[in-house]
Amino acid sequence: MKGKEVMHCHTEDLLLYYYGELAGQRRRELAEHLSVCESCRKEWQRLQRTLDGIALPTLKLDSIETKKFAARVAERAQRPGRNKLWLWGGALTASAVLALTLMARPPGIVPDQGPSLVADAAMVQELDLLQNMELLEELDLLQGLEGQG
Amino acid sequence: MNPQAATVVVDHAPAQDYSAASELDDRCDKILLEQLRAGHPGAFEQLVASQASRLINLAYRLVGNRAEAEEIAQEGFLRLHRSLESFRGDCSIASYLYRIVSRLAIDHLRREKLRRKLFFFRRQEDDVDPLEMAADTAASPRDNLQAKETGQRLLSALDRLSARQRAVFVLRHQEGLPLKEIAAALKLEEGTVKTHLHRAVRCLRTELKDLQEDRS
Repeated sequence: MKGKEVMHCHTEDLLLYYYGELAGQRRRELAEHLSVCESCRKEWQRLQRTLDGIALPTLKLDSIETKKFAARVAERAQRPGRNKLWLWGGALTASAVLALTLMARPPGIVPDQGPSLVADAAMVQELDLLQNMELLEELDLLQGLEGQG
Repeated sequence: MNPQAATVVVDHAPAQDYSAASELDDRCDKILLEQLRAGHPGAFEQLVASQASRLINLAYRLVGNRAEAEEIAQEGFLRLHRSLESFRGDCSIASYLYRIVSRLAIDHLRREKLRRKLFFFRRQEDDVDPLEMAADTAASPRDNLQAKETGQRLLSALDRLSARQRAVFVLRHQEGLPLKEIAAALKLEEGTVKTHLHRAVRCLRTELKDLQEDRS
């Protein structure tokens, strides 16, 4: 903000200024700069116009919908929790079966890996990745929240 | 000096919902927690009813689909219910729910993006349009149509952001959460949150350029 003819505001600073997130001294400097620099002032006005125009839609829930939703959640909360161990058990069993199949394969036989087979294998790996990711994310989230709560 | 430049900021920081979300102060939380832990009939349902609209709207703005938003909000409440025993009360129940729902929505968005990439999945267009429900009955049909179109444009522009950029933008711009709170909610550094916000706004400005030109 020093050297007002040369130094212009960063958009990031203008953004923080807009949201009231600039600390005292920087905020005053920026306000002062905007009062003398036409170029920055124009950019500030453009940014303001855009952000002022962004109002995300709101869902309006009437009292009946809210009550129904609350009743549904409360009912779900009373159900006995599902044990997630079966998921791990399933994953371990599948891995064991795969390992045994590979070990039982007669030596010397090399499976023909055509291009489509390679593509299929890649897809299966991505699906596994997706499944594992979901599982791990759930666990991470639960652990994180337990640690926090 | 442009007289508007210095004063306008305070007015435009949309500090609407979060301050309201903080209304459940420590004392109320304590009483509520005691009731919930004691299995007080109706206490949980009452809590859900009081926070439902805010949380469903938060999730809706984050994922852009009503059915998915309700699922996410529901999961948020269920996780609170499951962790009642271990809940230490370091933050208010409302903040805790905000955090859970924000993180669940980010996870959901990431999975959705991966699914779409893998299966070229497209959202069903025949879903009930939730924007219809937000239509302003006092406005003219033309205004409603325009508002609906703008809303849809905004949601598709938000779809172009990464899950974290979207979450940071929605939490700051629409929910009025301070950046510090967002950093705590998403377990990020404050500097990272600023970067996400900056990138999100840059992307939205590009996406919504024509709307902006129409207005000016």
